[in-house]
Amino acid sequence: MTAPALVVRDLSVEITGRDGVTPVLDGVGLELRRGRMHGLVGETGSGKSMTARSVIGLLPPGGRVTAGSVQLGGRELLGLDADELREMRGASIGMVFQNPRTALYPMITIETQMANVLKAHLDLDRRGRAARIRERLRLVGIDDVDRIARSYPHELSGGLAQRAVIATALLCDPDVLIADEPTTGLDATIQRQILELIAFLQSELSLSVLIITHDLGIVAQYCDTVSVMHDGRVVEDGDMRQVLLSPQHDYTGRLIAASDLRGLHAQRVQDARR
Amino acid sequence: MNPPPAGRHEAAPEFVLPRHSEGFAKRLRRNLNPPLLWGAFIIFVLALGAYVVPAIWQFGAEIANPREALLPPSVRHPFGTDRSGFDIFVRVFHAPRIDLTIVVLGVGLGALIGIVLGVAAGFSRRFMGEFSMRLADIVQAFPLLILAIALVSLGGNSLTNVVFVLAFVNAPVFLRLVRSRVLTVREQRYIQAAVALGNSTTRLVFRHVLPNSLGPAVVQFGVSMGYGILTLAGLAYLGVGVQVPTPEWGSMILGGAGYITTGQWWISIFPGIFLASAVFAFNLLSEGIEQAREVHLR
Amino acid sequence: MSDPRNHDASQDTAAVDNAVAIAVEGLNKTFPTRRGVLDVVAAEDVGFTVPYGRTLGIVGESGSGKSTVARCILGLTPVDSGRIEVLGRSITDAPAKALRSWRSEMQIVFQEPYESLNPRYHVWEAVAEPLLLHTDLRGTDLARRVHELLEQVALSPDLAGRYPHELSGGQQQRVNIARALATSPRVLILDEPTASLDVSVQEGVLRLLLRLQRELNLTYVLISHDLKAIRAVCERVAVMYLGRLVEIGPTDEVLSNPKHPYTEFLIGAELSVDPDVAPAASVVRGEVSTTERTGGCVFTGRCPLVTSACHKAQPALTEATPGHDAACILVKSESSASRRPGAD
Ligand SMILES: Nc1ncnc2c1ncn2[C@@H]1O[C@H](COP(=O)(O)OP(=O)(O)OP(=O)(O)O)[C@@H](O)[C@H]1O
Ligand SMILES: Nc1ncnc2c1ncn2[C@@H]1O[C@H](COP(=O)(O)OP(=O)(O)OP(=O)(O)O)[C@@H](O)[C@H]1O
Ligand code: SF4
Ligand SMILES: [Mg+2]
Ligand SMILES: [Mg+2]
Repeated sequence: MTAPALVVRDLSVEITGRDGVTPVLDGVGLELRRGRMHGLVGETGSGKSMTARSVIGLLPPGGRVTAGSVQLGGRELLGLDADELREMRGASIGMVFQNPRTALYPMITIETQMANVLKAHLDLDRRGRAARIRERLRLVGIDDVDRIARSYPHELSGGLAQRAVIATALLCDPDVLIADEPTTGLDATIQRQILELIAFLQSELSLSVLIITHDLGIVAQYCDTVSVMHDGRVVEDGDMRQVLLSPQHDYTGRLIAASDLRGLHAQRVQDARR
Repeated sequence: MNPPPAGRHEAAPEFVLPRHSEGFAKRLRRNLNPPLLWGAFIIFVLALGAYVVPAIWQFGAEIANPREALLPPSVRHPFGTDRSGFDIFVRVFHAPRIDLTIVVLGVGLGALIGIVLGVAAGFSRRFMGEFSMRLADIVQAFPLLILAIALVSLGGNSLTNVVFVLAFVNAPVFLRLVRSRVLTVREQRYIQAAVALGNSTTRLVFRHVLPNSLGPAVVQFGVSMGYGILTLAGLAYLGVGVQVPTPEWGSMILGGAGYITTGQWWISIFPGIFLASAVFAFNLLSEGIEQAREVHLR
Repeated sequence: MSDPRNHDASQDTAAVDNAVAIAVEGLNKTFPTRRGVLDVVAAEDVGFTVPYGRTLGIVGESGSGKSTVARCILGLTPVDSGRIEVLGRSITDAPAKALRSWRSEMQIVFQEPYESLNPRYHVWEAVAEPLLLHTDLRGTDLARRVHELLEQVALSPDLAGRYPHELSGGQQQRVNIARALATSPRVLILDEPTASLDVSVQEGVLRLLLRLQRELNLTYVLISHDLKAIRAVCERVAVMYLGRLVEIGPTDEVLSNPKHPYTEFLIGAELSVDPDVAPAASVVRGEVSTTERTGGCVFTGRCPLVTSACHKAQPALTEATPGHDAACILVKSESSASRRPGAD
């Protein structure tokens, strides 16, 4: 078996804020194999986004890695300086943040922002950049590429902004894509289209994907392996089928049991009858 | 509604949190930072010196002694004397009385006007927006000193007019800064959310739009203060505004400029150092205030 | 209102309950585009009603105008034309002051959890704001109410002093929900309220919403991409595509027996949480433009069943079965179901 694309070991992170030190990650470990998709699910506030942000070196102010290692293709990322990290982001790792609109600068059009990313990492002329930007926007299911490219972020619907961010993450053909809830706010058909696109890139370009999601449907249908987080720790991980079909940890079990909201549906129907 | 477990409910009153918004002063106190402290300290020392030093020093700030003209620094005259025999030490300390007062008033007034118009212009893109922007263009198109001279010669050569000059030249700067921020902020979702919650327009402006739009203006304040002192000096040199023998850094520097080549460096250098440290202090202060205001966005 | 469509939603309740809490009629909204003659049609001739104490779900294509409709309902975006009534008051021509005083009764949870929180307000201030604006609660009473609201959405009071950027996505979202519930509104618009919550918290929030609805007779509009959530809480569901309402009807019926080809796509694209149930191979393809209106059916660009007749005019919502309407020429009350390929 080839070397994993991304390995996180024993990662601990704490944030020093106004109200003291908050530990947010406590010995998190995960392994993403090349060309595969790894799902990261878990409780809200359990540290999924923090894990992703530590990997790309973008912890919030006050955040500090206290222990652990993060290796991308065998190269240790913790301890890289700002320039090396910037080079790596965008070029080798594409990142989709949880709140897509915050990743977009409010006063700049989508096209300009994407062109800036391209300028920083690839050697393309103006025309080449415009073409690539439009191609990527089309890939994520945007048909009105011209209008969207010229829009300012606040003029886009939630899903359009999200897709613009995904297109930006894929702009420079990264090896690893880290996507923090990339498809919340997208309707099922577009969601499918984007997941199919990612699956295609996985097989064609051996893109490796770490996907954070609350949708167990995505995990069940697209992920190869999965980790479940709870309160700053990985409580269960392994092969997707094994975890979903025979969960070991109590929390995983609860998550799966709640996943189709069947209990709620039954209750509503019952209420309606009354 | 299910009442929450009794134990927890009892905890509510000691649920220690600010009853209203955590105010500016409180946030400032919590966020005291080195630039802010240093800036405030230097300004405080300058202001204090302006009243203490002239009161205890043996020479008056406005009393010339032609028999002791152009003396180099000594124990008697730590900063030397100028060509009229003024003691530079006492004058350098006395100067902030005029310099700081005029600049604080002038830039403060300019900032106030600029912020008010900037918010109005950012809010009503059409009329107010266009009108005030064109006005700002016109004001800013004139070279600053010529504009100032024109204003003072129209309105008479008094210090009050110098304050207005400073306000006049600074207002457009603040207007532009604030307007462009307001244009961004007003499109943010939290502004729409504030409307949806039922905020009145006044509250919307003062509680939501303004605090999120002031950042660049606060930083600009320090920069403008620095420029203000320089403007004052330029004006004084041209005979506008501050008159001899009132001590003022700018006119002292310029008055001594001609003597540097002949070796009497002290005439310009000491007021120059004080002016530079005042400019520096204001920049530190505004930088510090902005740092304290900042809640680490993003 | 005398719209026959409502009838079905409340057929299981007494006729008295049939009063309408939200009525939207002929809503049109376009946004001008930069540098172009063509405008974005965000909502076109949208109309529906929601009776008191009921929930209408809205699903649909991303960018189809769901959030725009939501904002128009609360008068946050001016409409181009159309009539909107909430709790019997006309929103479209209400003076700003009146609108403001009604806001305690109609609230919205915006789609973007982080962006809709003022970055300078910490959790406590954010949740307390509507209470300060609309109620006389102060001091300890205010603190108690805020505390209670945070508890309702399962947010730890330890987080009350945190600023939005210091919270996880799901925590931000719950602050928004708590804030919207603060003044006990009678109408609540929820735009993707649970998208960044894990399923167990999501279930808790939806359960809370259902309980409040039952106890206080609240009226909801729930916009969501999650058909499971829609199924769980909505009596009726509306489907939007490119600014138009293309189908509306009782949830269970629309989702199990869709009449519009787009709805069918949407359902087909849902992913099962069971790894052994492979997803149906249905990915919509084809070009669409949000700015061009050809005059025909909005779905022609992607519809597999398109015929030349579809290009002639936009089909109106037509009743397929009682209370279940769809805007497709293939819908000819009742009989059309059999013509739906893949419906079996
Ligand atoms: N700046 C900060 N200071 C202190 N604590 C923080 C800060 N930012 C985040 N946290 C805390 O860190 C924890 C982990 O946050 P993270 O965003 O990683 O959660 P998450 O698993 O992504 O949750 P979600 O699914 O809700 O997005 C949360 O409990 C959050 O409150
Ligand atoms: N302020 C605006 N200026 C210009 N266009 C806008 C503006 N707001 C929305 N739009 C456009 O209107 C259309 C509908 O947007 P809306 O936000 O209502 O979609 P939505 O159905 O909520 O989509 P999503 O599910 O992605 O959130 C989109 O094409 C969007 O780009
Ligand atoms: S009217 Fe025609 S194009 Fe439109 S949905 Fe029906 S079959 Fe498809
Ligand atoms: Mg997160
Ligand atoms: Mg939306």
